[in-house]
Amino acid sequence: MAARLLLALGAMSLFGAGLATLLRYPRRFHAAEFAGLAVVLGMAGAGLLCVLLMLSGFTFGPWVLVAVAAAGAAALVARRPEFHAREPFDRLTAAGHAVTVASSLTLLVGALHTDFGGWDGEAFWTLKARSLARYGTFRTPDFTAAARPHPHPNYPLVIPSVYALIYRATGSTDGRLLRAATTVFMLASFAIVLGLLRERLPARHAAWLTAAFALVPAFARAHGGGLDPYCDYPVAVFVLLSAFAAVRWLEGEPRAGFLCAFALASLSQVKLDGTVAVFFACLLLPALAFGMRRWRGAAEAVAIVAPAALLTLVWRLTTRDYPGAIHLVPPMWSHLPETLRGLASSMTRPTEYGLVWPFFLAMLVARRPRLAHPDAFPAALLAAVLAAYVFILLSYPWGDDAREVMRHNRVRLVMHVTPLAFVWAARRLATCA
Amino acid sequence: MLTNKRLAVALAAALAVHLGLCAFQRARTLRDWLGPAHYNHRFVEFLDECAREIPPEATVEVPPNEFLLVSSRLYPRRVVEVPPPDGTSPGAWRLRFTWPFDRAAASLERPHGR
Repeated sequence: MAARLLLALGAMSLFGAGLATLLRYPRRFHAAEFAGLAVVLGMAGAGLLCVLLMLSGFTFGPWVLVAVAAAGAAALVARRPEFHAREPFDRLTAAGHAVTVASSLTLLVGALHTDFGGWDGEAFWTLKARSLARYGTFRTPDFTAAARPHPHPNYPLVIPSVYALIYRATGSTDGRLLRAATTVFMLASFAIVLGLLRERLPARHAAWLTAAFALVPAFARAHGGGLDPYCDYPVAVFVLLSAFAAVRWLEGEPRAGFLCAFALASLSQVKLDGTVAVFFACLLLPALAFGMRRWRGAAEAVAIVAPAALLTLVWRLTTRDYPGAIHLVPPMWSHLPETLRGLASSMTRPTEYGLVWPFFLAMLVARRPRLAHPDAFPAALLAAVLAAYVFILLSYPWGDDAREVMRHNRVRLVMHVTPLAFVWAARRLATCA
Repeated sequence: MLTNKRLAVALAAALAVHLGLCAFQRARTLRDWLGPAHYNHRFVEFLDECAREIPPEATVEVPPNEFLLVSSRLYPRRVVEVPPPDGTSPGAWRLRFTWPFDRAAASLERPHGR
C-alpha cells in the first residue's frame, strides 16, 4: 500500500515537475524548491484535470495518474530544468535546515499516529473523495439528491479528486494514506517558502526563517492543521504561490504570469473560501498593473486572472441547484467587536501562530511599500481577504453553538493568509539592507 | 545583509523567541500524538470494524450523534438517523453508541432474521 501511495505521489509530482519546467518560473531553481513545486503543482494539476473532466461530462479513474506521469515526463524531455550552482557549505545555514528537517520528522509522526482525519476532514472532504473514487464523477445522486447526507455538495473538488486518485491507486481508504499525502504537501510548501525567501534574502536568513515557518503550531494542530485532509492549508499555499507569482510578474518576469494564472485557477477549485482571494486578485492585480504599466499591463493582468474567474463561474453555475447551499444573512454588526477580538486573539496567541503576525505588523509599519510597487499586491490581497472574512463571519447563519464554531473557524481562516503574511514580511527584510 | 544593527538584533531576538515558543508547543503536540488515543480515534476504529461486517448495499440506522462522520466512514452504505424514540427501517443494521464515545457501550445489531 505504501509503495502504491509513493507511485501515485510520484506520478503527480512528475507532472508537477514538468509543469514547473514548462512555466520556467523561476528561470533557475534551487533543488528543494523544484521538488516542492513539483509536489504542489502536480497534485493541483492532477486534481484540476479531474475537475475539468467531470465538468465536461467525463469520468476519471487511475488512468489519470498514468496520463499525468506521461505528460510530465514528456515535458521534462522537451525542456530540462535549470538549477542554481550548489552553494558552499555553511554551518549556520545547515543548522537552520536541520531544524526544518526535525520539524518535518515530528509532522510525519503526527500524520501516521492515527487514520482519523478530523471532523470536517471526514464529514466533508473524504466523504466526497470516497464517492468520487466509486463513480469517477460528482454527477451522481451522492451530490445532487438530498437523500444522501452529503454536506455542502457545491464545495470545489480538486483536493477530493486527488484523494480519490490515491484511494483508487492504493485500493484502500485508510486515513493514514491521506495524512501521509497531506504531510508531503506540507513539506513541499516549506521548500516553496525557502525558494521564495531565497529570491530576496541570503541563504542563512532564508534557512532560519523557513525553520521558523515550519514550526508554526497552527499548521500541526488537530482538526484543521496541515496534516488533516482538510483544504485550509492547501488554500494557504495557493494564496501564497499566486500572490508571489503575481509579484514576480509585476516586477517584469512575463512567465511568472502563467504560474500565477495556474495557482489562481487551482485556488478557485480548492475550497469555496479560495474564491474570496480569487475575487480580490481579479480586482487588485489589474488595478495595480494599470498603476504600473497602464492599459497594456491591466489587459495582461485580466488575462492572468481570467481562467480562475471562468472556472469559478462554471463551477457556481454547475452546482447552483445542488441541495445544502449556505445563504448568508445580513451582517450582524453588533458582533463586530467580538469578531475582531477573536481574530486578534488567534493572530497573537503563541500556541497558534507564534510571532508571525506581530512580525508582519512590524514590517508593515516599518517597511510598507509604495502603493504602485509589486510588493503592495500581497499586502493588499491579504488585507482584502481578512476584511472579507470578517464580513462573512458577521453574516454567517451560525446556530446556537456560534461561539464555539467561530473559535475553530477563525484559526483556519487566519491560516489561509498566514504563509502570505510571513513570507511577505520576511522578504521585506531585504529592504533593510 | 542587514546593516541596521539594532534592527538586526531585535529581529534575531524575536526569531529566537518564536523558535523557542514554537518548539515548546511542538514538543507538547508530539506528546499528545504519542499518548493514548482520543475517544474520536476509538470511535472510528469501531466504525471500521462495523464496516467490515456490514455489506456495502445495506442500510444502517445510527443515533444522530456524529451522523456525518458515520456516513463518511461507512460509505457507500446508506446511513439513516434513528428517529426518536425508536423508528426502524426493515432489514436495516443498527449501530448503538453514546457520545462521547464509550467502546463498552457501543454495539452493532444485525437485521432481524440474519
